[in-house]
Amino acid sequence: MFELKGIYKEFKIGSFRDRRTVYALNDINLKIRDKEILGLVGESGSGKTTVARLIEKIYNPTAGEMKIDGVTIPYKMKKEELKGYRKHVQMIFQDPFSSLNPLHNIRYILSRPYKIHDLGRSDEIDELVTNQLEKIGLIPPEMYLEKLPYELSGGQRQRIGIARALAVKPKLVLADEPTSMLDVSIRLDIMNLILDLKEKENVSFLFITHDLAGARYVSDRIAIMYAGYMVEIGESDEIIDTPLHPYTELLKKAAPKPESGLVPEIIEENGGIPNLTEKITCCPFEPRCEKRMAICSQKIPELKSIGDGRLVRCFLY
Amino acid sequence: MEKNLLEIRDFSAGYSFNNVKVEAVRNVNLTLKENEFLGIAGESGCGKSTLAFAITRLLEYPGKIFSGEVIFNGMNLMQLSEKELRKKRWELFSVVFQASMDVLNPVKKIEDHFIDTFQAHQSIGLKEIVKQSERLMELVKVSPKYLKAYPFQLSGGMKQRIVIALALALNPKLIIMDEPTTALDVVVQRKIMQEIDLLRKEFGFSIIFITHDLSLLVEISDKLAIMYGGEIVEYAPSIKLYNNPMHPYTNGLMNAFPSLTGKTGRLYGIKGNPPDLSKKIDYCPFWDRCTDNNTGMCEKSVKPHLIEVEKDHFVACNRYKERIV
Repeated sequence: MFELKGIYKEFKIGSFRDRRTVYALNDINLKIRDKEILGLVGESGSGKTTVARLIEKIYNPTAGEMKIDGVTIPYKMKKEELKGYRKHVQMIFQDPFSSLNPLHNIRYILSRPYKIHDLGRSDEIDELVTNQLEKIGLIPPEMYLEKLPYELSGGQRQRIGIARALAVKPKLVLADEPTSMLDVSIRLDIMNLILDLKEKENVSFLFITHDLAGARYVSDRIAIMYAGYMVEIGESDEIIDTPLHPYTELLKKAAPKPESGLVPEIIEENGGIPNLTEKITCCPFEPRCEKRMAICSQKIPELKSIGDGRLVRCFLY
Repeated sequence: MEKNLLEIRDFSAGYSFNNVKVEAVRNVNLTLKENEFLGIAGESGCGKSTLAFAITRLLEYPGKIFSGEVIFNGMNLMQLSEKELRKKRWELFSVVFQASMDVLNPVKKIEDHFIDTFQAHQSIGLKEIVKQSERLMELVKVSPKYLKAYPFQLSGGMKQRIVIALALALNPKLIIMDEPTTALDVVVQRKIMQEIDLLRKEFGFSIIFITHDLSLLVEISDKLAIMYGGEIVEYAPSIKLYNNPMHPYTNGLMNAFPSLTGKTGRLYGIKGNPPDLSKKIDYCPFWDRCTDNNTGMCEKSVKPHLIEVEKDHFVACNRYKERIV
């Protein structure tokens, strides 16, 4: 349904004299299928959010191609075209406290998508908003319509954010760490809501997170990112049960998993994250890898398919 | 048997302003042994941070300690004067705060932080301080060359390690850590936890570790206390608590984390909201959210007390008897 092909993104930073380039994304290839939740996992600075912002067309890639339903998305779009495109691709933000305008009530916030995208006469909008509130589990809706964001809890606010994104019936929703600011007891509710909405509304999600267990819970497939590279993609259970890339293995080791005995695994790993302002000429994970070989410091491995839709970027395979 | 390092007795604290009294910590009793790792878990607003601040008397206005005693190493912290307490802090116990990478002064070099700390508590020469700081930096696995660096030149993980090195500087007997690793990446978080544990075994200090991430705590702490609505609702050795959680809230909290390698399937969070702590709660604080409340087996009006139902396993639930294995 949605496809990223050979995407590169570079940012120019620094002052006039000291110009540098941040190589934020390198050779990203990713497909998001219909009615699929794709988990995008990686540490801070690995480029997860940049991927989401490219898809939302907040900025353009430096090179590469994006396709939706087989049609290439042009780099330059007129304002109206962009609006039409964003009707298909919506976003949910990490921080439910700052993503809703504190001065407007819920009725106004949720009526905006319908007005902007011309999806109903003004007398119909109220009903649409009410339906939308019911859909995301804020019942009875009348109780919430006149409230201002500060009167709602974090979980309720995140639900409003989700309702707003889904109002225009998008094909793809980009959820950038939608649960990381929420309390532990509410996180699951939001993840369950996303799972339910996928079924009911026929929508795909790109679920960005750094929590591997959470990604496994919601996603059909998981993509692991490291230093701007996609290092492994596959079915969720397979990624977790048999991680192939050493970085995925490390992530699995580091995640708490009391169910497999209460003795945590010891991590022996040193070496830093590559400097993103320099063009990498070897495997980005090489300095931290326990299984490094001579070839790893000589060139960048390709993202190879090893069957069953599993892709790995590592010389071991 | 190791002796008790810290005893918290009938401790209540909270906030009071404009005639509103919020009792965020209610009647807490806890003991901490020497060289013990105690984890305190609960969702936001359950009083876990207030507890940490209050027992060290760091709670600032409108925060207030209402009643209770904190016996640390034989002396009552609540009775010390501000001056005496100031001397004892850091030497006896130190605190690592939430988002503590931001506690380093951005306009001072790392070495200045060490110099400040040492000079405030000991009469010690500059040379000796540098020697000590280098040793501490090596302990937390940051190269001593970064003593000359400014905080902004370091990564989040490195800053966190340095804050831990500072906390260790005067060989305290207890370090209280309030969500020290939540802002860090998973791998960095795990490595820092691992090192804290090694240091504890080497130097023999105790740790109170506060977090909402129960699955992380279960693996590393010796004992766990679960807080809800300002009260301790369950307190037991981690293994016991994990294998047989007796309080429905503990159970809910454990199920709130999807497991990485365990079984899959729908999980459900804990419904409802925590109680309003500005009100008096003379019933079970969890009753409104409890999955057992409508079975007719539990009276709302009966307030459960924390009792030892098995050896070392304390729980505050009216229906604990059904859960003893």
